Amino acid sequence: MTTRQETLETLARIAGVDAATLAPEQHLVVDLGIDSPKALRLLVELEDRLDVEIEDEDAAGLKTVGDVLAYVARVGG
Amino acid sequence: MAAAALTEEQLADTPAGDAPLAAPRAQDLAFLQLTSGSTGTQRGVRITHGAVCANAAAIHDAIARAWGRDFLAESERVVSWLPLHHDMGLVGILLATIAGAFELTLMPPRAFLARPLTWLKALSGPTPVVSAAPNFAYHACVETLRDEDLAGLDLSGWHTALCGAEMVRPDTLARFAERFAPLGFDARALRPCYGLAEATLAVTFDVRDAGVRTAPVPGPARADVPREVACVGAPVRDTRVRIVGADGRELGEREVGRVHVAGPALFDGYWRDDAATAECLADGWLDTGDLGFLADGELHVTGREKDVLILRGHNVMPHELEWCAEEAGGGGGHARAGAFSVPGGPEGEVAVLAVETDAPPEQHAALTDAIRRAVADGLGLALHDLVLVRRGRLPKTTSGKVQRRELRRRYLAGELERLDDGTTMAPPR
Repeated sequence: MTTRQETLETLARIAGVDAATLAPEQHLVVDLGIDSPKALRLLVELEDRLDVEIEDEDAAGLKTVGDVLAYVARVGG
Repeated sequence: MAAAALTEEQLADTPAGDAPLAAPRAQDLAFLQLTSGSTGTQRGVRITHGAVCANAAAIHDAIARAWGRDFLAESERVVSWLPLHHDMGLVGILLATIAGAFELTLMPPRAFLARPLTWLKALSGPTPVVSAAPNFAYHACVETLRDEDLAGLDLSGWHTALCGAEMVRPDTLARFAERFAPLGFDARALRPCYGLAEATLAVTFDVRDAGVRTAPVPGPARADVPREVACVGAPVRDTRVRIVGADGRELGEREVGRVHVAGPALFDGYWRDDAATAECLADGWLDTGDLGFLADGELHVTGREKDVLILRGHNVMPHELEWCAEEAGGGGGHARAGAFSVPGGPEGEVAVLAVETDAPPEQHAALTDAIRRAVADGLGLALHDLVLVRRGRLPKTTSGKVQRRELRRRYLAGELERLDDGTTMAPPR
């Protein structure tokens, strides 16, 4: 599985939606209901699955699905 | 007042000295518990040493009785991830554990939130153990843990699994009990409880050792009240609970009214806010602002009349949400927004925001999006529903304050004339 697929799968599982319905412009909280506890689970799962470390300052800037994909592409490439 | 705030530098300059600390008197202030909100109008709940001791002893007594023991031994084990600035973590876990000299395993809230399994692993084993958490934590365990995560866990030692700090949802706890029964978890360990910072913490505690019990809410069915609620138990030692009607008279069994509490663990007022104190404390009785009824001497909480939303065990003041709407331009110069919560979701309640606007229909989608994003970015919260209404349509007092309770009633009764078609509801979770 590619990093991108892996990320989408993780996002979908935490949001409780089908990965195929995810779109880059979707807002994590507004559109996917990923509130702060879920966001924390998302970060930890991404760290585990992609073997990257996500800094808190970086995490705060991740607002949309596209932000997350771009971020993991950069750090986990 | 025997309290002073010191900066770290001042503290470093303070000579350690050999003078023994003066033993506090029961009426001396032990700490100020900040009740709610991240901004502005926090209230400091004044808790005395006497109140802490009384409540810690009452908690020990309740756990022992529930578990069928005469008293708790020093070997008791307590496990918690609750934040220690929150009354349930500070009093129910930290201070009650110190008072009993029990063994304590603490983990940061973040450890649990990121990996709920960490909590269950710390609890695992045949030795008796006590832990406490709000409803959402039990939900998170059921929702997020996969079968393969659970291999090797033994929850047979967990004899007291307290559930409080937000509305207790019997369905969540039933699912938790069912899911973890194969790991040795005993459904009778689930003990709903009720408390609030103004009573130091614990007010009632289910000690029947019969698992989570529910009772139908008396009176005609109403949209804003669940049909059935969890029993949160009888008052803890030395504490009294009464239910009071709108006319101030005490009500009988199975009559819904305001929950009042009296006893040695009550706060002695809000910090420098006599007006707020006078609103809820009179003749030794605290008006909790919560609604409920007594059945066979046990409390059942049905809702809340005070203006606070309790989301994930965290108190959110309505104005925090309303300000987000204003910042997003919803209310213009004289922003009018009203926030309240309704039953739903794993946390037992979800947030709804109603906003007045003059904007033309074609701007409504952009406006709701902006408000939702402002709430998401400001508070990390997903609104369950965002209702736009025409300017002047929110119910207000003669002085122009939004009447949140009336707003909530109208919302639930479908009497709000919403400008949108309701398709802005959050995705189901």
